Order: sequence, then structure tokens, then C-alpha cells
Amino acid sequence: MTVDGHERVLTPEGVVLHFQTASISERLVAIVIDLFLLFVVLLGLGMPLAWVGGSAPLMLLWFCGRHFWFVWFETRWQGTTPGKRRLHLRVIRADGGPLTTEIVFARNLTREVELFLPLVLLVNPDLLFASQQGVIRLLASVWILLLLLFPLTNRHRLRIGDLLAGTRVVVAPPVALLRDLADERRPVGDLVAPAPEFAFTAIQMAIYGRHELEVLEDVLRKVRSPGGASTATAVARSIARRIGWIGPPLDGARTVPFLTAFYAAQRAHLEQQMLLGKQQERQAGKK
Amino acid sequence: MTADPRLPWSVRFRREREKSWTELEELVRRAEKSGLSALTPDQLRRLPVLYRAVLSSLEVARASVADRSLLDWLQSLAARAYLVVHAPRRSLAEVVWQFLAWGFPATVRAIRWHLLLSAALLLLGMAIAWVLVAADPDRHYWLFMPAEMAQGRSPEATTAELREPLFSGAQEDRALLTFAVYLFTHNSSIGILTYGLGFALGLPVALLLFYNGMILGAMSALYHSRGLAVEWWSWVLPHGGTEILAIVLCGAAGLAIGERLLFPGTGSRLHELAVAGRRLGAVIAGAIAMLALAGIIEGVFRQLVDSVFVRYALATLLAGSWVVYFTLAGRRR
Repeated sequence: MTVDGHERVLTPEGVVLHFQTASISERLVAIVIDLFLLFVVLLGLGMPLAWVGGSAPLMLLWFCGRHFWFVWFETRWQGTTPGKRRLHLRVIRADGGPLTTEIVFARNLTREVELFLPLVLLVNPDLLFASQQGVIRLLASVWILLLLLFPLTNRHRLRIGDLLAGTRVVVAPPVALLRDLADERRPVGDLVAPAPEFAFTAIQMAIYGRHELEVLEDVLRKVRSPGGASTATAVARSIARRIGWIGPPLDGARTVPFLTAFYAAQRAHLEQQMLLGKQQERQAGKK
Repeated sequence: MTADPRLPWSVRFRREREKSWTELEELVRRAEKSGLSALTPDQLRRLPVLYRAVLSSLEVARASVADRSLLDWLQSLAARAYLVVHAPRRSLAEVVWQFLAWGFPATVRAIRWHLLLSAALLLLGMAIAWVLVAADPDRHYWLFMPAEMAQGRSPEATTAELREPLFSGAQEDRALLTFAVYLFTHNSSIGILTYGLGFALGLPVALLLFYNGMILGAMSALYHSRGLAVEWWSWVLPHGGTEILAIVLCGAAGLAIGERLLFPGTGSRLHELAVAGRRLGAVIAGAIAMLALAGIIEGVFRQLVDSVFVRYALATLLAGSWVVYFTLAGRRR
């Protein structure tokens, strides 16, 4: 069911949604942000508290902060924390159901073993092993560090907490709806193909597949960026050669209209093929 | 009006539906920013309708649209809407009540054999430490007693010194409260640790239970050897009964996780582990609540009451309540 770097979630409506697995570095940055904010909050609340009430409220605050920062935000903010939100990360359930309090709690219970214990070990090992020496110390250190590195061992980048709660962390950056390149935005109802001077035959349409169409889309969207125009010209020439285009030479001003027309025609052809149940993934003759 | 055959059909597809898609996007954006409560009743009615429409658009687009950017956008919109529509909508109070009235006792009953094993490990540790300390306190006491737990209660102390912390008169209010909070956070952290350690096949959990039993056993043996048995248990049992039960519960949860890892049962290991992990995580939450209760008893009650009889009465009452709660509560839903 799973491809590297992707999570597939079946919604209760029976539709499969694809999510991008969050990378280790993204999650690390999110944790650093969260820990920093937690530190600031603890400091801001802790100093007045210690001044008023001594060490008891301070200990309670430290305990609550350490264990409930993530639980609090992930239940309130639908699977995100300040750090996660900054990086567009989100906790989802692997099986597609809603993220309940119980699940958020379960995935955060192991932070103690997975995050804070290894951190203490790295910063000040004597805090953990006041009396142990030698082999026991080495074995325990290796074991604790293995827990920290656990997400590197699987393709879903699961922490043990994710494993125990059945959750995944995905990255979902905002996507904008881009202009339809094949739509000239004439009033609705007046649907005509752009620039009828470029017409293509069925044989010419059978050469390229969806992969090439996506590349062409990228070229057209970047035509105004630096170097985009010269790439477009090169691509236009290459297409013209490949499909045996007969017509006036494709100089600067005619490049983009030609490519747009070709894009629209190619997409129309491929979509018709798709409607008939045929998929033309790549250029004919190529793997 | 006929469409130009050279024009992709997805142009029409998009033009016909784009308005409802962007309407959903606006609702989702608002809900993401300030919650579902920010939507008007009218918008709330529209949300599921638009969501299903986008899901169906996505399915159609996957089968017959070759416009990459449109597909990506629809997918992302559907995912965002899905998270908004299927967000849990129970209030915190509701969650807590349901858990205490039903989920917690039911889950504890489900792991009663682990609970038994967990208690047995604790008792075993206790018995061994007891025998060792009773035989030779000076030699064996410090083997398993951390100094911050002992708080001066050691074989070197006189009987009067040992008796003193059992009754509140001598102690300053704040010091006792601080110690109660320290014990609460310390025990809760151990409880949380047990859950995580369950992942290492439950072995560290067994050791932890055994070790905590040893601490209790060593101290009990010390007090018994000085003829302070009645006073000692009157000090331990009111809060300790709840506290020890909570630690044993955490241990049982850790052991159950270790078991699930070794013997996943009928489903896939990952799935079974997730199902068990969620349920058992809740046990830890309940145990933390119990530890907080024990902390209150320790910090407040013990300060006010020095009567040995009242202390035993409370301990019995609490023990009886736990038994009733865990055997009877939440049987019907």
C-alpha cells in the first residue's frame, strides 16, 4: 500500500488521500522550535511562580510543561503544535479516522523515553548514571540512543510514539490553485481552442505521454522567470522536430503560443484517452 | 454549443466546479484558523456537502484529468477539508468523564492478568529486600535505596528519628508539600517511563517494578525492626495504597505493550500495536490522576491527621473504593 515518502489514507467516504511523509529534518526543526517556546514559557511562568510559591509549583510546572505541551496543542490544534504549524507538519491517523485525545496522549507518552532521556544523556550523562560504571553505562547509552534514532529505521519516519498510537506525521504545505494553461478565460460558454493557426494531427498527438505533458506545463509556467524563455524556445524546437511540425519557423514571438497550443491539444488528447481507459504515461518507445 | 475537440475536457470540468471548490477552500481556511465555531450555521451545513463534492471531483480528476497542478490542488484541498470535517468534536469535559466512567476501569479489567503479574513482581522485589535488610540492615539497606527517597530514614538513625517524619507535628508545611509534589512528579514520570519502556519487550518494566518493590521492602523492614510497624503502615497506606496501585497499573500497561509486540495476535503487528498502544496510554493517564490524588492525600491529609485509627480508616476506605471502581464501574455503556 505504501510508496517511499508517501502516506495513503482511506477516508470514511472511501476515497484514498495521499500525504507526503514529513522528513526527519523537518520534524527535528519543529521539535527545536517547540522546545524553545516551551523553555520561554516555563521561564516566563516559572520565575514569578518560584518567587511566590517556592519549589513545589515550579516542579509541577516543569512536569506539566514537559509532558503536556505537545498533548495540549495536538488536541487543540488538530494535530499540530507551534513548531509543527510553522513547518506545515501535521499528525494524522494512519487508518484515516479522527485524531482523538486518547491517540494524541498515547503518541506523546513516549517522548520521555525517546526525546528527553537521550537529550539528558547527550548533555549530562552523570545525571542518569550517578553510580553505574563501565559496561552497564555503555549498554544503557547505546540503547537510549537507539531509541532516539528509531525514526531513521523505517520509511514512515515513525517514532515509537507514532507506532504505539498508529499515527503518521505528514507535511502539507499550502498549495495555490494555478491558472489553467489551456483555458484562455473567455466568457463561460465560449469554449474555443486557443490560436487555431496551430493544429495537430492524431499521429502527432500519439507521441508524448503524461510525463512529458507535466514537464511542458512546468516550462510554460516558468516562461517568465530568468532563463525560462530560452528553455521554452529549445523545448519548442525539440517538439517541432520530434512531431515533424511543418509550418512557419518558430521564432521568439511564436514560441509560447505554439507551446500553449500544443499543451492544450496534447492534454485534450490524453484526457480523451483516459476517458476511454487508456493511459499514455510516457513518450512512445521509452520506458 | 459544442466543445472544440482540441480543447481538453478538464477546462470545462474545472469551470463548472471551481466556484464550489473555492467556496470550500474559504470555509476550510476559516475553520483551520479559528475552529469550526467560527462558521455560521449555514456554512456548517454547506461544509460536508462541498467536502463530498470535492472528494468526488478528485476521484473523477484522477481518472480523467491530465492537468497536474489542478490534481495537486484538489488533492491538497480534499486533505485539508478531510482533517476539518473529521476532527474530533467532543469537549474535554466529555472526554474526561467518559474515560473515568467507562474507559479506564474497562481497560484495567482487560489487562487484569498483567496487573497480577505486575503486582507479583513488585511484591517479589519487596520480599527479597525485606529479607535482606532484616538480616543485616547496615550492609544491605543502601544497596537499593536512593538517598533522596530515604530522606534521612536509614539504619544509622535512631528510633526516635525514624518515628518523627511519620507524624506531621515536627515538619514545616511547605517542606511536606514540596515533598508531596516531588513524589507526584517523580512517580508520574516513572509511570510514563514504564509505558515507553514497554516497547523494549517489557523487560525494563519488570526491572522497574521489582526495584520499586525493593525500595518499599527495605524501608518497611527497617521500620519493622524498630517496632514501628503500626505507625509505619499508618503513614504509608493512606496515600501509598493509591500510589502503589497506580505504579502497578503503569507496569501492567508496559507489560501488556511488551506482550503485544511479541505476540501481535490476529492482525498485523503494526495495527495491533497501535490499537493496544492507544488503550494502554489511557491507563497511564488514569494512573497519573490516581497519583495526583495520592499526592493530595500525602500533602494535605497527612498534615492534618495524626490519629493512627483515622489513617487506617481512610486507607481501608480508599482501598475498598478502588476495588469497587475497578470491578464494577463501566460495565454497561
